[in-house]
Amino acid sequence: MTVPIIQIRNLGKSYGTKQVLKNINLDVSPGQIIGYIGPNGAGKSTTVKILIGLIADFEGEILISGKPLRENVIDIKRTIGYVPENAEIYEVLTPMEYLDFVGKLQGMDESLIRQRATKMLENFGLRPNMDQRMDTFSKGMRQKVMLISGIIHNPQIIVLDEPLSGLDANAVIMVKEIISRLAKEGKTIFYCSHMMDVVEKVSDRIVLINNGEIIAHGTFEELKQNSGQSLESIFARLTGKEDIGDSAGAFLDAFE
Amino acid sequence: MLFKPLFTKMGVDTQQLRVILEVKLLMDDRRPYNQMRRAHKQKKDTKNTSLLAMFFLALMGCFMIFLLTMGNPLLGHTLYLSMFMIMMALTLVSDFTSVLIDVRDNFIILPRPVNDSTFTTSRILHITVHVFKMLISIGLPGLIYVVITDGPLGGIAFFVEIIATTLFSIFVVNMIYLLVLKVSSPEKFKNFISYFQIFVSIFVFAGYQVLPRISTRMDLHGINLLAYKLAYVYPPVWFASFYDTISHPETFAVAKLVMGVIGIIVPFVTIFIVVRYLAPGFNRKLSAIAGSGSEPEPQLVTTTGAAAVKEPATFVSNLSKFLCKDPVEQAGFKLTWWLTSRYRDFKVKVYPSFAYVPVYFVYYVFLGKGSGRNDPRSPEITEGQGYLLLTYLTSFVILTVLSQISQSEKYKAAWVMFSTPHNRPGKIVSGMFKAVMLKYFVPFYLVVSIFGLFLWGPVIINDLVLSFFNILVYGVILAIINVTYLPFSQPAVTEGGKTFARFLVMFVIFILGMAHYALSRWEWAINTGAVFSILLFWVLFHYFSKRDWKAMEADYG
Repeated sequence: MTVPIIQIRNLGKSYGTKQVLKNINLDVSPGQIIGYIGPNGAGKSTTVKILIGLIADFEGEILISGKPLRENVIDIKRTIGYVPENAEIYEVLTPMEYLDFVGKLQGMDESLIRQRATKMLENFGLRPNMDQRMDTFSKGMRQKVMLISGIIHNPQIIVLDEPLSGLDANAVIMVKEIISRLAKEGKTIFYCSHMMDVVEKVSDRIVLINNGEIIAHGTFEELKQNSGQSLESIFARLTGKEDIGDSAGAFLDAFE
Repeated sequence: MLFKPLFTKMGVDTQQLRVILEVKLLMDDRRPYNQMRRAHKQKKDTKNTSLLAMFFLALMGCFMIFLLTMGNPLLGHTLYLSMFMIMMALTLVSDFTSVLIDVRDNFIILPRPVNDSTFTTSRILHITVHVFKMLISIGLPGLIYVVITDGPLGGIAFFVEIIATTLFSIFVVNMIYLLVLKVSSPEKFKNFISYFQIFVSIFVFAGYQVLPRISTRMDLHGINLLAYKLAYVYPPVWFASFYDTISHPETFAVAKLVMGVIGIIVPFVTIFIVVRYLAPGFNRKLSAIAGSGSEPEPQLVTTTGAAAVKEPATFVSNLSKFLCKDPVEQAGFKLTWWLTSRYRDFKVKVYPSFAYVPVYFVYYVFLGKGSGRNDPRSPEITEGQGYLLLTYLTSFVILTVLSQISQSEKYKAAWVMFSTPHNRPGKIVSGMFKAVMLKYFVPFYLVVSIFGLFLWGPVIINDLVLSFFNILVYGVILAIINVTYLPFSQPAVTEGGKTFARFLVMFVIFILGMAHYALSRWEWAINTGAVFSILLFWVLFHYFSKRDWKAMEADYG
């Protein structure tokens, strides 16, 4: 195993008295795709926010390429790309204006931004919409722009939070392919999602957290040996919801 | 970039700073402008919003020149600066959150390699540019006027005094923010801001209507501000004293000199306090508005078993059952009742118009032609028919509510009214009609009636009844012609088309009012009219509630 690009040591985080993350430990090697899953409110997005340097106030230690995150936030942000879940975007801008803005904040050259953005937009089929304001865009179109804005600076680590939401089937296939090719080139991908079937197929390793703790960690094969058939059933078993069938029955009883 | 070396020393990345500012200002330019929302065409991209906003502020500035001319220079400038300060503070409070505190920054800018000082500086500069634009547009007309009348020295003094006022206003706004954040939660803060916007609209409207009138009617030349003790602690007086001392040395007074000096020192002291002590905590609080604090934990109400099955007997649902027989109508009633109190955009658009009624009334009746009407109990008023104007003005409330009721930012949620198999959209809109009448018009009319009874005495009771139903008749006709959409089912757009129909409806209330006025000398005619009006209302409302999908322009999507 190569030197880990992300090392998380005893990571903890509390809001007031409520402990959101407890003692998270995780090593990620370059070129790996980590599927990061867990029920709502388990602490997924808090982990992500800490990892990309949005939350500075945490316990424990995070090393990115061997450098501590706390002391090198700005440098580390240069090597991370982030695609947030709720497509927050300046929708009065055009995709080109937006990507130019983002690229410049990343310290890129204007001509390079233009060249890359045009190519990427073209391949997503957004060439004709390049100079239209995004307030008329559909969710899928916005998501494509978000994806491009997350990787336009060619980051080493890419953090994706539900990157497929709103995309049509063709775009989904394409994005999945992009993700696995990026990983082959040695990029590290941190993939958060609720869609178990996608995580199952895409990820090299799966990390399952619940109530702020890692409760399972390994390749899909490893998890399967211990727990169940599909990632979905493993998830249900480990997060303590085995009786989902009963709940569904009780749900339907309401018609009685 | 002028301050490049300074910024670099502070650790600011000037390249990033420029990019952020460029984009922020570009976005300001494309944001639809509040006051212009009605006029701007739907499909066309909005541009140059800030120019437009500046134009409106400049218009206000022109109006404010009136104030400068009132009484002696000290008084005139005090009034002008008070207005200036109020304008500045009100606009800043409402703009601060929407323009300057953008939640999306957390997801778009902060994950990028932008250091804190760059980000903070970009916000400060953004605010500065914003304030400066306002300062220029409100102050420029006054500045030109002063230069013409008092010469260049006066112009410079004027410039200094409006800058001092601006700085002081920023301090005041900061204090307001801190106070509100201290006593309320971030979520309530957003509500507070929308009420503030409502207040701003009312204030600006009243200012436009009433100010020119007052200024021509009152004799202010004899007033000497310095004779009032309270004036000494009123900041605009300080700033005005500064101006007065410099450009009118012939009226020199020690008190003015002292206040003038205070007026120059205080704003700088306060702005220093803001930067040094208030700003840091302020930023932290504001990011709490945007951050995790804005996700309130859903309140867990554990009602189990039989209690959960029975509908809680709330005031609104009882009311709806009392007024509407049909369940669909009840649903329309409750939906309208709840959503009108919970959608901020509805409140911001509708509530200001409620204030128009008293303002117009004061404008026409008390500030009308001739003098000696300053006493509201003077016989000229109590023997006239001013109450008719007052009561019919309340139809304005209906007009605004009904013209906004079908619009919402969340209009897509209305799909549920289209997908459900009820076949009587008329029932939903009639429930809606009952709800808005009961919620807005009736209380408003009651207040107006009590006021009317107080001034004119019980003789007007039958008039009140007649005009109440006349206005309701007008409301139904308005609803039949204009409200062809389900409540909250349309995006906020321009009210194009149907201009003629709209005009005709306006004419209805005019005719009804005039007829009432013509009849008002015969009591029996009023009484008969009232009965007739009630019948007419009943018939029309019945017709209205029977509408089917064909009568509605009920296209979804």
